[in-house]
Amino acid sequence: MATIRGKVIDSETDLTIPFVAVDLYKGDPRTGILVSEKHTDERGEFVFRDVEPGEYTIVVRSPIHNPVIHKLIIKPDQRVIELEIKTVKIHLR
Amino acid sequence: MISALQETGIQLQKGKTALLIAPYMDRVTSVSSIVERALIDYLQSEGMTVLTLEGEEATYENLEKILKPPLEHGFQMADLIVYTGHGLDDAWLGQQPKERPLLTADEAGLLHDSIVVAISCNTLKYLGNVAVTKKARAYLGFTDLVLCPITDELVADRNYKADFIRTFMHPIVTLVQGRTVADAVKEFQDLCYYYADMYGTKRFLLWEFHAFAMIHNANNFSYAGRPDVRL
Repeated sequence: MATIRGKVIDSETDLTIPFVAVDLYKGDPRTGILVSEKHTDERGEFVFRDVEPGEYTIVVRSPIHNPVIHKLIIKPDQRVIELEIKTVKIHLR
Repeated sequence: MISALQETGIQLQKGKTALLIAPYMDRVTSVSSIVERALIDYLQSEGMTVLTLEGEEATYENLEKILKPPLEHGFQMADLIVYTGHGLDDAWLGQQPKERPLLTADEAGLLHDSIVVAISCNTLKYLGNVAVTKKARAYLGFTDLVLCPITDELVADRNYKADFIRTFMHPIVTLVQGRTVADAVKEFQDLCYYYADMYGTKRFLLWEFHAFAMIHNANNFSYAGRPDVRL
């Protein structure tokens, strides 16, 4: 079992983004299984624990940032996966 | 009448002038400025003269240079003014917002006698209404955030970015076709709803977010001024 630790970052400011939705799917988000739904904490960080080996997709959603799809493969010998997921604001203000 | 004229190839807006203003300093304005680029060719093909203030040119000083001298002689240089860029309730932010906004409500008299389309957050809350009280013919804009996603076919199985660019062009195309301000708003909203419905039907990757953004934009686009104004 592995732990996925990550942070969501605004690539234009390099600041982390708190309280955005982070969904973990086994396989493709359209056809796969939603494994877990989380939000980034106040530091823009998220954790998924006890993730089995396999192919996964992380989808990051926020009302004012571009959504992000991040695919990853967890191998049987992996224990911790560290991610930085970058997005940008998409409003004209 | 209008469609009959178009079939004969007569250019409805021949002799009219458009001023297109498109700052770009980040990802979202790099997308919104594509609207302006695409409009240049379209408006010229319709017989209009096109003036532009792009990127670093999108400053108050340059805007004033184009619009103020003719206004002092009693006429407006631009029949149509299109702004694509960041905005607030009371300002177009332009290229150098930390130094000075491109246009504030106090300067809305520069829009006198123009039809204005602002693809920009929130400016119809205040600036648009002030512009109309200072005799802009009409002001089409947004009363909330404008969402301009950058998702393309490299990320998803739909080039959403291109769809949003098309919706932002649509009110201007409607006006150039000789239709009214009210028609232009309705056409924009209908196109946004069409895409939102289509995303839901086809279930593209990330369709929920982009359908939400389309509906959000549609529901917050409106106009100040009379509904029957035409270019």
